[in-house]
Amino acid sequence: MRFQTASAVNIAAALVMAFAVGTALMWISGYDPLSSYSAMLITPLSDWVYFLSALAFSAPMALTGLTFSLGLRAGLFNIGAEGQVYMGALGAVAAAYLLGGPAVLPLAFAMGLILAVLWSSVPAVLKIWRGVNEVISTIMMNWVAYWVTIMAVSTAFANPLQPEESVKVPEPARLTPLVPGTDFTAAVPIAYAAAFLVLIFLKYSVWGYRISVSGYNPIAAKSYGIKPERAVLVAFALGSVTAGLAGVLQVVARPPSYSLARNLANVYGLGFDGITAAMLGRGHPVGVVLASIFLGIMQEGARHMQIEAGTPYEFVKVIQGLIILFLALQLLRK
Amino acid sequence: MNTKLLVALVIVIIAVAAAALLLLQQPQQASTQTTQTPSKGNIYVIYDIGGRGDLSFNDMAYLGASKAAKDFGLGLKEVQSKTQDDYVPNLRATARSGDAALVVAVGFLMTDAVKQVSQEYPNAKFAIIDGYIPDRPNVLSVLYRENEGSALVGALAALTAYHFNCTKVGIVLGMEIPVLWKFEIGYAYGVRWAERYLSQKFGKNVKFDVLYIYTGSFNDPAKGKQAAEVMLAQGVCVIYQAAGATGLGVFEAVAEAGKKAGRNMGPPFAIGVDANQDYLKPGFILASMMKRVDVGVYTAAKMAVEGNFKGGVLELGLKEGGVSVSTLNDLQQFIEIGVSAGAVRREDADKIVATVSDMRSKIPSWIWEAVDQLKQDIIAGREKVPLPTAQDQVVQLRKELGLGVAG
Repeated sequence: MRFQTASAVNIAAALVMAFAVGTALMWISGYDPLSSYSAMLITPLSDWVYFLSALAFSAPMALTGLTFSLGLRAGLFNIGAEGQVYMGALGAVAAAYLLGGPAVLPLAFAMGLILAVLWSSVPAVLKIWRGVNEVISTIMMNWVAYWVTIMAVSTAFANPLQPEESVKVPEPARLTPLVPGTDFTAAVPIAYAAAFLVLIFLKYSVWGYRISVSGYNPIAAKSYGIKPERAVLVAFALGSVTAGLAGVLQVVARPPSYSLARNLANVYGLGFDGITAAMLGRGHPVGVVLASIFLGIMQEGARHMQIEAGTPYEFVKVIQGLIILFLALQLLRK
Repeated sequence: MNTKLLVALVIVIIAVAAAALLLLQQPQQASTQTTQTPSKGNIYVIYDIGGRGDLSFNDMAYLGASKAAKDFGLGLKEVQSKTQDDYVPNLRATARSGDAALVVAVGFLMTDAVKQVSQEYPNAKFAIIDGYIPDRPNVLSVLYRENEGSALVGALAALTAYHFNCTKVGIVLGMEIPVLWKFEIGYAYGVRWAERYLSQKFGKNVKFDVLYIYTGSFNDPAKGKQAAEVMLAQGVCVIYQAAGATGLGVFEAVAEAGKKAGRNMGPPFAIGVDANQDYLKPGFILASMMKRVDVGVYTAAKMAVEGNFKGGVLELGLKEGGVSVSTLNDLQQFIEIGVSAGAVRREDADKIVATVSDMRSKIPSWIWEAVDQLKQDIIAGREKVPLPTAQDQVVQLRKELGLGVAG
């Protein structure tokens, strides 16, 4: 399960093969691969509005990518980011419901992050005390989070004026676009700064070192006086902070709705996109940011692909899935 | 490590070679595709997260746009939204393209996004279906009086149920958005009108139960099926669906229940929505409340092309032909949609028409006449179907009209 050992060659091979198979699929389905790829990868880079939109899409994926990367460092396969994103968003919505005015913003961060950390503490504690496999417990927690959040948004936090979404964050508490006419809000620099902090933490802090050591070899860690259980706990908690942050930012820093959709459409799948970002970024915070920008460009490119080449956006998802598949294929050979 | 590196390199080389080969074959194909782009601009159709393939709302929008594109010599480009975060970037990308004759936002969910982007790009023309943006010079809000059409099928449902000795009718809805309140309340109003009609005409006092369920989704047929099964288990015999693709599950459940009872024709019946959906489960779909999204899109495109486009509200009801109850005449056109979407086979078309007309003849003519009478009364303004716009009104109307949650 040590995905961070994916080499640059592995990643290049996975990318090339995924795009090659994507080419074949498009060609067979009667779409033009050349203009599709040009619209998908070049158009977002050729226009400021589109590029900033790609960065806006990259921010939550970078944050959930950090969650997965932190887990990998500690030897965990933590796929709980999805549920923790929901919890972060739910906390932000609850803050908007409870208060008015600019005070909503700090409360949203506080409540969102606390909820996310609490949510991750369940699989963490189960893992440490009972040895419950974190893959199973985090998947289960994701589903519990999904339905709890839908219930809360449909009942207590429903917007009486727009029943398809939750109450909105009041205007003074919103993080509005830094560049007018784009979706580029403070969420993007916050996400990249979080990656930088995680990098510093992993590289220079004692706890970062403990996490890495116990991730590589828990037995060796123990003989050095490091408690691997604590490293697991810290990795889970920090990971849930970044995932929760992604959820909060999707609510307070995403125009135009500044709310949570009742079917969770604006947070759904972000946790899993983060796994893609983490695998492509080799679990390294800088790599995760770069990978999330790449995925953001693909996501922005998906709309231009439809407009310029008439190719359905699903092909972008197909290619992303193929990238993961080819990465996993190569890693399983070891 | 060396062998692994080798393997990886070999894979890369093969992949690059394959990609290059495929790309080399490309030019002939590309040239045939790009030549047909017309110079007069494009109609852009942006779908919300529901999207094409629902055989109703979104496919109707496509129908109107493609007809307009053909008639006015425009190109047609479709953009699907994956999440609600895509609405604004999608609208922006189409407005920035510079070749948009009209940008059509299909669906109420895009209201906020259209408000924002229409301000950023004041020179682009937007039309939004079901969204209410009355105060922008470059946005045309196309609204329907679905409450009127729903009242007609409500009356049809109740009278048909009465004919088959049943007193329970239901409605399965999608997400609880204000547009859907019009379906729900209109339907219940039609049922209560049918009660009055029965007591006046036959002196019979019948009381119908009207049950409703909001499934919370427009793209989940499994949820629709489940909701319909709950109703059928409670003895409901006519179910109206206003739930996009979710409603396809309602048809499934109704047809299954009918076949299980050894019938190849209702009861139980379903009632379709938006498009003429009578062909989807022939014999089990009594009729459809057609909401002519195609007419709205076509009208907006026509205004844009002819230069008399202006912002404001375009309201389409029974009188304007914006909503209607499906007839046998327009069935053929919609079977074509079903064929192109792969939902029905072309060879079955004649059989479907025969089954549907057979089913319609089994419903006594006085019922169809009653529905027509209600239609004339609404058009003439003698009957006013309530139009709820706020939550508290809906709560009040549910109480007055005696709507009950199923389950």
